Amino acid sequence: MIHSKRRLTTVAVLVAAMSLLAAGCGGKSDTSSTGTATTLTPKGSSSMASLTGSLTGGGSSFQDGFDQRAIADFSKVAPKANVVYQKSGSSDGKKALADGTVDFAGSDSLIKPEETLNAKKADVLYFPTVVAPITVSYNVKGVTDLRLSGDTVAKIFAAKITTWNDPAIKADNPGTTLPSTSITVVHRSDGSGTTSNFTKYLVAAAPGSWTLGSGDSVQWPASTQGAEKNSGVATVISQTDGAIGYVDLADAAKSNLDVAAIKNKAGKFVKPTPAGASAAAAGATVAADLTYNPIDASGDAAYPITSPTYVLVYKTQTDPAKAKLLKAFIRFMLTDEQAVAGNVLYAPLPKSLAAKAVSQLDQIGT
Amino acid sequence: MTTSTERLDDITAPGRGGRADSAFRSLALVAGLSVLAILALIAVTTTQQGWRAFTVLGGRYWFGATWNPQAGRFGILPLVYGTFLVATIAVVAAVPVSLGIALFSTEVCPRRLRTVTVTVIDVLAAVPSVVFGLWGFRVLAPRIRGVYAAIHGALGSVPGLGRLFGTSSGRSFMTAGLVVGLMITPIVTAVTREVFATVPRNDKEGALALGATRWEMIRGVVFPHSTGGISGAVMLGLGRALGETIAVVLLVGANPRFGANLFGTGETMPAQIARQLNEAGPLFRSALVGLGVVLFIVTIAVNSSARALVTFIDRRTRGAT
Amino acid sequence: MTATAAPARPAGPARSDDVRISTMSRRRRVRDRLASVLMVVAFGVAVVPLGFVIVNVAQQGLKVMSPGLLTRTIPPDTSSNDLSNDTIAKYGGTASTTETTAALGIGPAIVGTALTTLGASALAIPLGILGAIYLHEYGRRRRLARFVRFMTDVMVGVPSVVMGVFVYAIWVVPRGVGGRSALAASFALGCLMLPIVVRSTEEMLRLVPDTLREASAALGIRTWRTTVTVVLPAAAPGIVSGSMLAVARAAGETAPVLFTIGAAYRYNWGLSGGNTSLSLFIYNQASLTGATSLRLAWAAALTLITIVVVVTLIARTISTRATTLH
Repeated sequence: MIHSKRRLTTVAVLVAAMSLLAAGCGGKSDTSSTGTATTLTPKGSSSMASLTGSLTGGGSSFQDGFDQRAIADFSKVAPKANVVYQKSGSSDGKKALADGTVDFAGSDSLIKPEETLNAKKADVLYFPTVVAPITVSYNVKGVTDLRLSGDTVAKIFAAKITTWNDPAIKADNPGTTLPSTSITVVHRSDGSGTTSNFTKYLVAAAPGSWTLGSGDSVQWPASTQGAEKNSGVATVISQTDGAIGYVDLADAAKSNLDVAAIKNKAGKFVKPTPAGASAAAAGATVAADLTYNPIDASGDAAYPITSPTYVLVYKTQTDPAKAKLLKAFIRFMLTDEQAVAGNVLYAPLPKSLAAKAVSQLDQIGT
Repeated sequence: MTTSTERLDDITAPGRGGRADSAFRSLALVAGLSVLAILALIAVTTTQQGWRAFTVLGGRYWFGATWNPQAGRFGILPLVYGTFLVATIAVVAAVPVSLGIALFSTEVCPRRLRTVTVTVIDVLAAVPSVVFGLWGFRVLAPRIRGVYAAIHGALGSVPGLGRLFGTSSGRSFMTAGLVVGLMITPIVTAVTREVFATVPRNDKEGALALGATRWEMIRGVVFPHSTGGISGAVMLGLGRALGETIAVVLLVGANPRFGANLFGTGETMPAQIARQLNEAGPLFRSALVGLGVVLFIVTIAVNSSARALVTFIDRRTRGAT
Repeated sequence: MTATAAPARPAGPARSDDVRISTMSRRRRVRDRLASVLMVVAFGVAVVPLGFVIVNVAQQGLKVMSPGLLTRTIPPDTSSNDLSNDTIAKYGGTASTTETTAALGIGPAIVGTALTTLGASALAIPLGILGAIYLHEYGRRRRLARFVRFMTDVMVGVPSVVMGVFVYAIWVVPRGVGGRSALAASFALGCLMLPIVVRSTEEMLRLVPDTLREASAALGIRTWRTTVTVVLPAAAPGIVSGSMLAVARAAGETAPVLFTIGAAYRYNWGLSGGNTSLSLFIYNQASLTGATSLRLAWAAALTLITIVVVVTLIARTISTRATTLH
């Protein structure tokens, strides 16, 4: 008797547990997303509707905002194709391309001699897609319109300046009351093209104050703090009074961070905006492989910490169908999507550069 | 107990059962051995994957003082340091609290409330690590900064001591350590509670009968009887704290370094694995799996000594009574 | 017992133990009282943060929680929710012609948690129960059994992240990206659950009186039948409760899943192919930018904590009942 009673409890409990699980995954029949309003329908060519297959991309988190938007729009003109982009940092993107785990890599930095992809460098094409400012975002109570010169930025990130009311910051911001809060520098903990371009700027603009060099990662001072991806850095800044860090504009905006105006070569303080990035890109010299350097550009309106960002693909593709899809997707980013770049806080490429990139597509073959 | 075991062993001795019995027996044996097999597999495969880092990097891996993977520097010492620092903070925070709770629920708390306290601690044990991490990251870290700032203000200028209590951004060794401490409190409490429960009631009542206050009884009878068990509990807690991952990832600040500043950022072995393993190239991956091997060995050592300690004390106390 | 409970009582009607207190030196009394207070404080030190965690999670989670949220798919990109036209204009972008909001959901993560936990249970619970049967019904005090028991205890202490690294090394690395799946995550979680199930089951088998086994043996019934028909049913509630605790533990774990599941945010009811789990989803969303990610993280945390705590409490109720029966 006792046993059967116990068994009954057991069964009852099992049933309860199962129903709990069932409740947990309830309503499973409805697997489609609902409520997503339709956005503007891009005017992609009608031949795109017949594209099939899947593309995997990965790397730079700096271009993630634009890529996700492009993928979402692309899925409307090519509903049978499936494109995925996973942000994991530029270093990782280049590694993944070399390993063959992605079909295209996102990167804000060029291939370096020590990287595994270097061996196949001759077979890699750079496609610039958009340009965007790297913001110097901060969170200081009561301060909203911070202005910083390149030298001050370098001193802050080298931990040579440790409080917000330091004379150097005061000198850049006459008339602003600055608190004595200590500065928390937030940097990327993963290998990052954003770090590469930001430190490149510091090397260019403040060679005297910045001695840590440039690269996808540098040896940060001990008092600083790391965070993953642009989004992680933005989150930590938004959570920490007195924090400062470098973040792409879209992530800064999503966390509603204050962004500093940076003094450019012409001596003007310029806020990080798509327009400022465009101005910086317009004057840059484009190399034969379509790489260019808009950092610390001249011009009154140019935002000095402007970063290029590229999609990297192999010239020689093994699968013709994949090559076709790859070309279509990149073409889509270089043409139709240039118009919506501003919607996600990126700047379109200068027209001439976009045209060069489109013609470079012909080099992709099987 | 012993006699009945022997008798049963006789009955179940091999040769007595039929075919089905020996089949079942083998099945059970295989299942029992699967634990050993899995542990052996873990040791072999992780060492295999970590081998590349061990051989290519050699001493620069084991004794290197810089962990900067993107620059090809894979010295594990800053991570080992961070791991032990966070775990030590956790244990220092958790042990007194756990002892208090265990005493509270075994000696002080009215009988009716006892189940309630045990249930509350069980719920604490059930809260997933990632939830503590999310809470610590979004709620605790930004707020605890004020506390750190106050401590820094009070002690920061004291020579020597001041170095431990520097400036802070909220995410730090200390924040990670305190949250991990909260997470290991249930296990330390559970083990100490069991240890306290084995204190002979006669001794306790004898002490009280001699006019001791309850606290004197606890100090004079309960503690001496439980020192070994408590040490075992502490070791178990330490083992848990060394391996804690996700909460630490979100709270420690991702900055592999040495540093006395407890309020400063750092990094631990499990956190670094969690952060980077998915995105690592071949050598980096090997170095991370190697960290897993280190962690595996360290926790096995800590846990075996904890178990050995508990067993040893068990035997000693059993011999005494 | 009355003696132990008395000192906590404030001055009340005169009783025999009050005499003891009144004759005691003030210092000893104060110390005793202080010690009791400290114990209560210790309890508070653990309970207050727990309370904060639960209240915060409930508050933030309930703001977003709805039946639709539990079933809808995870939006691929929530930036449209965070970048309103006002925000875009503030940062110098160009406002888009139509503002869109992605509908929030965490359905695939719930499915992933259910799948991986069930998979892990299917692997670990039968194996663990059989292992415990070996330890207690056959091995007993033999040297091998003692060794297995010791190693099981050691395995309980192996950090969950090591299980993740292990399955990653043995399963995911050889298979590449495609190796990440609910199945791989089940392996990792199963490794985590196995020793817990073995130990808790053995404890429960120990509670079954030997007289039952002897009586059965005396009737000429073989050990395996005795075990299956007499011992296991007697120990069933405890075994179920122990296994449920292991399930709760596995459902809440992130580290073993992190490298093994693939973080694909779409419904996947199969054991192969990328999947996600509630715990991993919370971890990923926690460090993302934007209010929407955070809202999703809190909602997932509320869901996960509810599942885990409910399973734990049910398990506890069963085990309390089981032990009172014995």
